[in-house]
Amino acid sequence: MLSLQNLSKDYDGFRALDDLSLEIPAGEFFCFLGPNGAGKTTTIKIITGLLKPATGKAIIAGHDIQAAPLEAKRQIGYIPDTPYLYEKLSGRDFMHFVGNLYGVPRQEVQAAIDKYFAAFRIAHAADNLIENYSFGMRQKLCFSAAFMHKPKVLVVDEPMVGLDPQSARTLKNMLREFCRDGGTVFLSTHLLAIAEELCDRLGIITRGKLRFLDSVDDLRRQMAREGNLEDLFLELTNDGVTNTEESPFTETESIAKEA
Amino acid sequence: MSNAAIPNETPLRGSPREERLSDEVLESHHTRVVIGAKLRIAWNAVRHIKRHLYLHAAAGFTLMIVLLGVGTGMFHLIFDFLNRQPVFGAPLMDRLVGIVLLIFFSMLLFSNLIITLSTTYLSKEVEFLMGLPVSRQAIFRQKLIETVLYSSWAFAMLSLPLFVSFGIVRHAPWYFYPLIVVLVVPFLMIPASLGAIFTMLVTSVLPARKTRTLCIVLGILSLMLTGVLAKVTGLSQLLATADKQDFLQIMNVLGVGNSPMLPSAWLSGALQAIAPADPLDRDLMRFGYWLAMLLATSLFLMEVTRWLVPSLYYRGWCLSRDAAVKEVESNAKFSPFRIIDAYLERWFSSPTAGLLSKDLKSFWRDPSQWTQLVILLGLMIIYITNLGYSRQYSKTIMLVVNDWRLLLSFFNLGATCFILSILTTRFVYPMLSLEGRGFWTVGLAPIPRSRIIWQKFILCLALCLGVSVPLMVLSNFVLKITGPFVLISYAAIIIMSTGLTSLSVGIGAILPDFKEDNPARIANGIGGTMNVLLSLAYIGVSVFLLVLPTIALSGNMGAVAAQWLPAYVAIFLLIQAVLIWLPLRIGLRRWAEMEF
Repeated sequence: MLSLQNLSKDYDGFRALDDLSLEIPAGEFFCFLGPNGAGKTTTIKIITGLLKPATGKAIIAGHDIQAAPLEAKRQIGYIPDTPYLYEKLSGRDFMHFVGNLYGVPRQEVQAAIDKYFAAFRIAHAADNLIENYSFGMRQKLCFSAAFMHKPKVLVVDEPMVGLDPQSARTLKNMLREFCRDGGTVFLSTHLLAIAEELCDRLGIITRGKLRFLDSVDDLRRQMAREGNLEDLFLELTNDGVTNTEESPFTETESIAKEA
Repeated sequence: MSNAAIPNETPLRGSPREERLSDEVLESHHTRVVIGAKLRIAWNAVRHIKRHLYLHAAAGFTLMIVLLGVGTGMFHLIFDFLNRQPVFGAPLMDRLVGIVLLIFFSMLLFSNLIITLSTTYLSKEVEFLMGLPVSRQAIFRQKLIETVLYSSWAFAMLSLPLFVSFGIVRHAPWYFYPLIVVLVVPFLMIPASLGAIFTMLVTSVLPARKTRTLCIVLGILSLMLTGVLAKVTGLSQLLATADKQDFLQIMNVLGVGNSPMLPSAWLSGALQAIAPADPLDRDLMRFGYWLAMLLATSLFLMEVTRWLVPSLYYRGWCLSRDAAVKEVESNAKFSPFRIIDAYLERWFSSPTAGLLSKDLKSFWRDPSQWTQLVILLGLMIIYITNLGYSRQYSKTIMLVVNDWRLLLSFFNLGATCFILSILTTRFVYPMLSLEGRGFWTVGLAPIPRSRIIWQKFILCLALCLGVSVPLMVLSNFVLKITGPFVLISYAAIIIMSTGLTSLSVGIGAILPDFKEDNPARIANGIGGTMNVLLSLAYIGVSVFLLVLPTIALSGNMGAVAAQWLPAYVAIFLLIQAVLIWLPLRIGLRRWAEMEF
């Protein structure tokens, strides 16, 4: 469903993404992990066509995002981590706007508004201007808009930030249901518990290179140790870090853990 | 004061005197810290200018120098002409300076009101600073300095040519020029403090967003009132039909600018006192008196501001946050937008209708957008109503062209296009930049990127034609233009509106500013400056190409010129087609390749 083939990207001589290849089948919940600046957002932007790769291809449901962008984009739903929304539109206006862009009939847009606004508990604010929405409400509106055109691949960047526990649970259920119905979720997050709880497979990226690609259990097996995902993640992503870049808190934390 | 004076370990507080002293120390420390951070931001911005942006910065700087030079030249031309007139020339020049400074003062007052509200109450930075242990006095003081800087740059650009040409024409001594700075600083603080006081008083009872709309509406009304008053007092007619008998009447009308109650009159009085070339004619006592008036008033108003801050600022700021959330009308059964949406969906494809509806709603629901448009339309109405009088000026230039109305019509075409270029720079150019931050929505939709550019072009062209064509119809009517020029003027305005729209949309795609979400600031940037510059060049070239055959046809070689006319028209249309096509073509290509 989502195929990334030898993707590379440079910024002013800095290699942000280095020969990244991934195959994510239909119905899979895939988590993409990595420290800040590892190349997660660059990957997402290439998948969604907001950036052009230096080399390689991103294929969405059989369509190359660069060669056939319109066909590919019809299959994607995207939720950015800090979405910019049109402040002077109401939530309802925004849904109709996105519906128009994707050619969703008006009745279906209305049905989506009723369904998702009720699920995320923002129906009371449907006719308020977005400028009055809190961060969490904006996030919920983005999810509602992303689900509306029934995409095959959902690309999600830091989904739980700003959501209340009830809405976070609703979202998790929706994402699971989306995968059960044959959809593919590509989720980038820093919340390792989310990855541990939801994902079928995970990929860990550092410095633009994919360091690990398999399930959490396999990760534990490969690292030949038990423990939670956070420990494994830190061990994997600290690989190759020079002494000068080490945090002064690392040692203290280790001592605390040992104690 | 050094950082050692800041009470980190040894508290300064104790007696009431010490308490007050420590508050002042803290306040000035906080002000310095925040201003220091701002300076650091500015310095970092300069240091990190990318290589390709140097060219833009150089173009902007050159444009600024050219504008200052042209402004100085224009003022010099007027002042020199007046100064050479016997008896009434010099006093008329003084009164003119008084009137111009009064206009600048009114503009400063208005812009200070609006900017104080934006920077001191509605900015996100204030929200951040309010959460820190920074005194409210310090926040307000720093924001007041910011307001003065924001509101004064336009005054500097406009007044510098006036002061310099005044000094040159009067052969003023060298110290005239540095003393301008001494006079201008307290002069600028007066409208800034008045704006701050008014804002604090109004925002303590009205939420800041409503106050800003109120101020803009008040500004529009006062602008209209000025136009009406100018008519009532007969100023326009007097200037149009002036002869020596009317001189005293003109002097009386212009005397409004020299009323001793106005700070602008104090500034112009001080300038007049030290400008004369002959030392015996200089009146240092009068200069000192006006300078003292400026200093005393500005210091008094600043102290009043400082006195009001503790009781009113925080109250007003909180009120601006408490404003009730209002539902919008789009879901109501008979909402105008529901009707508009229905028509848009009938006439356009679904994505284009969506984009058009979004742009119209965003524009209508932002008063800071449409009220500026209303101001510009108000200026246009004042311009047209005064066109009738300009017919009388033109009798003197009949020697150049047989029909003076024709010449005036060309001038009118140029002026209409100039107003249109201000509109396109302010409203059309920023549109694509504003899409940048929301590109995760529009850019991910299954529509070609070129659709976004064409949608902006269609919308803006329709709006521009909606403004420019009625303006041309009205001005042709006021000027009593008849015959073939009526058709020529309509064809020209339609072609040039298309050209100006294409230029603004094209430059919007070539030089977007995705970091800024305030359209006014986007228009003030490098891209906006380039847009104005190229629009003016386009208008100049187009009007020149239109004037050329008209002069040829009305001259001695009229018959020969008539033979070449069809070929000339074909070439003119070809040039226009290229000028319209080129920016759009480059813009479309650049937009298609852009990364976000």
